[in-house]
Amino acid sequence: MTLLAITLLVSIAIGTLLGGRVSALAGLRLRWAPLALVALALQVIVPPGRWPLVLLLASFVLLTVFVIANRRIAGFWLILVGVALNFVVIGLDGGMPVSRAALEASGQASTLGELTGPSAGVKHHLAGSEDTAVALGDVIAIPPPLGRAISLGDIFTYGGVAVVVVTAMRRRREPEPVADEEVQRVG
Amino acid sequence: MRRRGSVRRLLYSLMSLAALVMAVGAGWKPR
Repeated sequence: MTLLAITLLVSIAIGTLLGGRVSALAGLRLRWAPLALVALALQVIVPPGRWPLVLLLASFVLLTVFVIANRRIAGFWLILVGVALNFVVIGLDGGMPVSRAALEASGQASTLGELTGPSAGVKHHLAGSEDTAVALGDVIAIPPPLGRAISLGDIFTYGGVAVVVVTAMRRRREPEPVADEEVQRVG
Repeated sequence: MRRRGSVRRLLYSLMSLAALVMAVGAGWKPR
C-alpha cells in the first residue's frame, strides 16, 4: 500500500509541477471501473481446494477486460503490458514466484515462512526449480524502509498509473458549449 | 452540490486505480 501511496503522491506532485490540477482528476472517466474492485475482491476470497487459483486467474481476466476497455486513456497501454506480464507468470507458475534473493535484499528474509508454510496464499510463493517464469516474478528488491519484492509487470503497472494521473491532471477543462444562435451568427 | 459531485468522482477514480494496482500485483509484502 505504501508503494501505491508514494506512486500516487509523486504523480500528483509531478502533475502539479507541470501545471496540472488535482481537481482535473475528477474528469477521469474510467469505463467499467467496478471490474477493478470485483477483481480485487476475487483475490481476497479464500475458498478451499483449487478455487483460489481459479479465482486469481478469473480476477486477471476481469483486470484485462477493464484495462482494454480504458485503452484510449493515456497510460493504460503501459498498464496492459504490466497486467499481461503478471498474468503470464501467474498462469505458467500457478502464482507469482518470489525469489529468495529479492526477499533478503528487501529486508524480508523473516517472512520466508509465510511463502512456504500452510498459511501461504495462492498469489505468491517462494520461487523454486519447478517455476518457469521466475525472471518475470517478484525478483526486483526495493530495500527498506519500503521493503518490497516486485516484478517487471508491477513496474509497468505503477508507471502506467503515474502516466494516467499526470495526463489527467494536465487535461484542459472542456470548453463551454457554444450556443446554436452564436454559431449561426459567426457562420 | 457540483463540487461534492466532483470530489466523489475524484475519489472514485483514485479508488479504482488503487484497486487495479493492488489486484495486478503490488509486489510481495506480508500483510
